[in-house]
Amino acid sequence: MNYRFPHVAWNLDCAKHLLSRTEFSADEKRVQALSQMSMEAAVESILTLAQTAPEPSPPSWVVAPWVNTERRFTDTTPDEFRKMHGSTNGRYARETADLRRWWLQEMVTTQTPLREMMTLFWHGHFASSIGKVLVSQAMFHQNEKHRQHGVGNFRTLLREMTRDPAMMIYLDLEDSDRTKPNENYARELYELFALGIGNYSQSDIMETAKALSGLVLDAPTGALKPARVTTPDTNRRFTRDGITTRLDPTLHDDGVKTVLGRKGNFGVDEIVDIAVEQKACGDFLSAKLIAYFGAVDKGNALRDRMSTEFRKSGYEIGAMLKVLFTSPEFYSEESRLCLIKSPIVMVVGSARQLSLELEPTPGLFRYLAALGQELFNPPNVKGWPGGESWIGAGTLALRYHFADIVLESKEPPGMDSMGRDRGRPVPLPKDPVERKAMLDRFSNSRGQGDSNMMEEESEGGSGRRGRGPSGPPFKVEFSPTRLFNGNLPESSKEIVDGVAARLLVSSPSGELRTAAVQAADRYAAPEEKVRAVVRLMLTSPEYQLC
Amino acid sequence: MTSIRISRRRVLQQASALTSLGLTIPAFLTGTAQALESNGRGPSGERVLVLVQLAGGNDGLNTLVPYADDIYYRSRPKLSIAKDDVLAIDDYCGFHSEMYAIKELWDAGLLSMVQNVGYPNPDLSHFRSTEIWETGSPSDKNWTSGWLGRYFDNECKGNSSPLLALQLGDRTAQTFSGERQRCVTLSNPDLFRFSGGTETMQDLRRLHPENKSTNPTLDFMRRTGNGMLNASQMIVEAVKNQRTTVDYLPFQFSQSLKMVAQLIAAEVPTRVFYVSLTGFDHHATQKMRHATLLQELSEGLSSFVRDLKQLGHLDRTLVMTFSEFGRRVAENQSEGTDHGTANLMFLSGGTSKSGLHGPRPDLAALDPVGDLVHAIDFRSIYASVLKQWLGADPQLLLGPDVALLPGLLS
Repeated sequence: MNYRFPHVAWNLDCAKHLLSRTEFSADEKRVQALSQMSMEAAVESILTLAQTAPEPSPPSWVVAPWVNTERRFTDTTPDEFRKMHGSTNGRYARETADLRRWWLQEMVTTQTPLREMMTLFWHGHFASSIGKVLVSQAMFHQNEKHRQHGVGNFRTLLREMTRDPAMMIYLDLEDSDRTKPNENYARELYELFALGIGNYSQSDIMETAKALSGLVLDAPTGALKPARVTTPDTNRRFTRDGITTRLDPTLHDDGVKTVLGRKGNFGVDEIVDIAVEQKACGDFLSAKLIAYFGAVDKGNALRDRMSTEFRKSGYEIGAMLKVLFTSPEFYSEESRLCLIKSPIVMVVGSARQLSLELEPTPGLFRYLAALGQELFNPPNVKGWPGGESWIGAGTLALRYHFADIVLESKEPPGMDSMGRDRGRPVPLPKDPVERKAMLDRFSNSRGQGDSNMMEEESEGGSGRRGRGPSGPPFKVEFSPTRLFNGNLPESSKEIVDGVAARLLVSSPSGELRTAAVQAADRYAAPEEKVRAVVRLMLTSPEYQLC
Repeated sequence: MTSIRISRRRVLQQASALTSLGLTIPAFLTGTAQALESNGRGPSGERVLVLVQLAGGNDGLNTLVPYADDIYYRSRPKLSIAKDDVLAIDDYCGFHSEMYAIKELWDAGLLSMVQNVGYPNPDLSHFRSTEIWETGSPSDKNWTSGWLGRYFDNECKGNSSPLLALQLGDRTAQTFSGERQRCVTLSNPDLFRFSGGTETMQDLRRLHPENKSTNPTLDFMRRTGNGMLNASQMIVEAVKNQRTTVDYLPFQFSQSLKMVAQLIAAEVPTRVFYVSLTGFDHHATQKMRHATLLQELSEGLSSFVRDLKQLGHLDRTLVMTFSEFGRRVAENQSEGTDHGTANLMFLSGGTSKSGLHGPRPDLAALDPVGDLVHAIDFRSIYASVLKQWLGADPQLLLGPDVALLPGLLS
């Protein structure tokens, strides 16, 4: 890469800052190792690792080819349908829950955390939600692509996303044909994925929709399909024969389109090319990455350098990241300790920093969802805006309760619904005596308040409702001895310094340090001191920042 | 108004309680006291909106039953409510048999209902239709901000309450989606209990000094932390000390409404409350489960409204139910109903005018799929609430083409 790297006074602090931002949290050993390289070599090493490390094996339930287990034909009996629809819903919910577990496990254990940070970035950028997509395996395949191309080539990634089954379902590209081209994906392609508002016109959207028409999801080419009739207007989810993307020429508008000043018989590939070639594309992506990694870029100088290298490199994401992570802007005073950790970064980062034994249990995902970041279910197509939008009185209280999860593997207060368990979904008698008798028969324990009773397995069940099968909501184990590698200090001050070095990006303020020492002083045993200090630091505003 | 005098007393009580803990009185609390004192308040002064979401798509036709319409019985041989069981309100329709509590509210002139509410080009997917209702968007647009999120962004900038909206639930509804996070979402008030008693609270306060640092993000975190600690005091206190005057069912929905009543009566600085009753998506074996839900809705709402009335806060509280769609007119082959369109909304309190609003759903003029054709666009109801109850600009928040629903609110 023919780029003149600006001067940065590279040191231990810089290495810690870089790793805090790119690896969920900074690992001491890695900080040492990277600080001993040159900045360029350090950045090169984390990028190369992200680009070349072997990918995790898929979850066991991913099958090839995917089969629609709720395929409905005209001669399907209502009974048959109810059974297969119900069991498919159940399976989708279980697989989605497992997909979350699988990905979080990867984030916590991976030797290339930058790759997962970028997968998470693309998940929020090219957003799709299981609530609409419904097909769990499609969400896996989308995640796979985010990972495969996350630090790769953006043109390739954009092309893959346009043809991605989950995305096609989410933004209605599956039902877009020449007679009625659907504009949803075309609009988001420009507004949210590639160019940003103001860099295209309504006409560009309409013409692009024509160019993208005709993509269908079907069984793989050559697969044998049952010779049964399907009733027209049956909901899509019951009529797909597969989730393999192909272009149906009879449905595709193959005429001439005019898009962003170019004219031709455009299809998917050409639209992707035109989009990435726009200067706005490099600018837009650079700005998003700058925000995601928390750099302050006054006057857009950094953005412009990133955008230039993006174009010069043939649209390589790694090129943009290299400019970013070697920029004076990234290491400037203003860019330090100014990024509010996303819920995932907070949880995964803590697990890594505190050497937690953490099992990704359903309770943990309920907690993450309550913090505002449910994997595979972004709030809308804009993904997660991040920054201050993570923080309100409710979510902050919940973040402070993270200490309960870490130190006691305990569900934070306030996550249980109010009220008692409903018991059976039967109306109460009108007569007060009979009513009281019935209420008394219900369990007396402060309940789950679970109106899940009322629902059969209904659609959009992303595995988030209800308690799920047996098992505690959290399985987290924290060991003070393990944290200090067996060398537990004895004094409060040493313990505070040791914990702060691991948990905080920069040295604690006087007030925080004093409060931590006082908290430690309340206990005699070093293990208890460590716990008290960890608890206090996890409830500090400083801990929420990196 | 009596309620203003009571509220001054309450606020000063709360203020002195906080002072006795050695804490400074947060600016917004004294601000609230001043706002409450002034009689020349704008239309949105201390008014409260309570949204009740019926999640899953409530079957309006079995809620307000058109017992005089033959088509209803022909379309629902198994699911229809027998004429003799219906709690008639006129010679055409009446409530589901389990809704006797709501019927009493109706008889007392405390209930308003709008029938036949929907929107053009209805979407029958939970995901999309809920999004439409929560964003207040026309169905051919894809707005991502919530209708109340926009209200907060545009009309509540000067309001520094950490509790501007409170939702009982496990994740924040899109209704509140906006530039900043103004809604506190909790499953139960224990969220604000920090284990370790005053020791922990003191520690927490120490970690959030109010003086400014050189780091604006850190300052933001400290400010929000302080706001959160103040909110926590208010909620924990209100739930502990605020009396209620009626019984509530012990289940989640009614207990949530009870807590909302306590917070309203304790005059916490919250403008909007949001509560959900889930489980309405009955594709099969609907009868018993829907009856149970309707009973809980009926008794929950009734307890809530009567409680607020007796506590003297019903005039300043507008309650409104909504659901993402109704159900198909004809029952399906699994003794349930599929997703439908137009539906019923309940309102009570505030300046709502009791009675039945909107034309009857016409069972003889269904759309090609067999669904009701709506007569009232839900956006007009939102517009009326925004303008006439909250004193906001509906054109700004919902678009220039939206009109109010005359006669709904005064």
